[in-house]
Amino acid sequence: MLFQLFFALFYLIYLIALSKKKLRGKIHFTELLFRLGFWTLALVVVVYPDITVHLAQWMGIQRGVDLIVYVGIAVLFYHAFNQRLKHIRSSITITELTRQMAIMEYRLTHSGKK
Amino acid sequence: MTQETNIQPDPDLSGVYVVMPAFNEGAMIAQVIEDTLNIVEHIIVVDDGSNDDTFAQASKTKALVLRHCVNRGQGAALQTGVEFALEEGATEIVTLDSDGQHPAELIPEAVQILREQGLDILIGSRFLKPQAVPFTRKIILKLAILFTNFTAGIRLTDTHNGFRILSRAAAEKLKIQQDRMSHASEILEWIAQAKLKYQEIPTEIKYTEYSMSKGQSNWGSVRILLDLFFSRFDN
Repeated sequence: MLFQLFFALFYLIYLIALSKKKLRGKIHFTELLFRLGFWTLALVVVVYPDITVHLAQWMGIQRGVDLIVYVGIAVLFYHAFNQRLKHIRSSITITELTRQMAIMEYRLTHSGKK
Repeated sequence: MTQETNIQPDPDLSGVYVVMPAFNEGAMIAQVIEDTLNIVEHIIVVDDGSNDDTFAQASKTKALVLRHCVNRGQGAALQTGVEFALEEGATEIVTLDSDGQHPAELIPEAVQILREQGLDILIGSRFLKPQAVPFTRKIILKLAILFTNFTAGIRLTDTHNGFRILSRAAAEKLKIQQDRMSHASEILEWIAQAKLKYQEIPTEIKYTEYSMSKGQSNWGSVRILLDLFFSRFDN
């Protein structure tokens, strides 16, 4: 029961912080909905853990906590994979910039020397 | 290391540009450039953000020296050199490693083969004629050959040889996106996809203590495979 209380308190504080961010225009509406949806779902699961048990059994998994772990791992893998792709795209951009700078530097340094 | 001679570059090679990517090659780069200048008039060195005096050493020679302000990898430096060579009006572009392991003296013959046979690209192979290749290097290379022949869909005897000659038309289509060592496999896949006319030429690799110390580690081979795997999804 204590954990549920702590989590509910955390949820309230987060909600206030999120509202302030939205009021200051620091996040978009879709971002607000996503964050709100995620943490509300987390609160529901913490307060009513039996929900995950029913869902897990419906999906053919024995325990609710197993379902959360499986989903968590899948989300983390997906995130890591996407981050890697983003990193590759950023690298391509940095390389192109470096290339253009190298050629431009050469042209500037050697202009009029030919 | 070859002795410096007074041989003049072949006039038929006036449109040929050699591209040498260089990273921390200060100890050898000037000598390698001088040796190559005996064969070809135009050399482009791309100093890939070296921590040593590579840029200063290369700048003492007649080579055209470009500098990446940060290290981006051999593939990135090669693409920079190729783009610059095209801007300079190259008719053919030769890529060589800057540690002196590739035989620059082979360039005239290779360019002649490329022109006479109307090839898009000529690729060096150390396995076309018998030569001593260090054992672990041989195993890694053979595995790379199996993998690349399978994934790229072309048949070659050496898939990671930095000695290449590209026609201008082929070089204009080249767009290396694998910045690091996996560019070699990327180039082969590009050859297959673009249906380029290619051929291999026997090249002897000079395995000196210096070039071996600069070579890839076994971990580098694993990294190449990872880079190639992720590149499949980056479209």
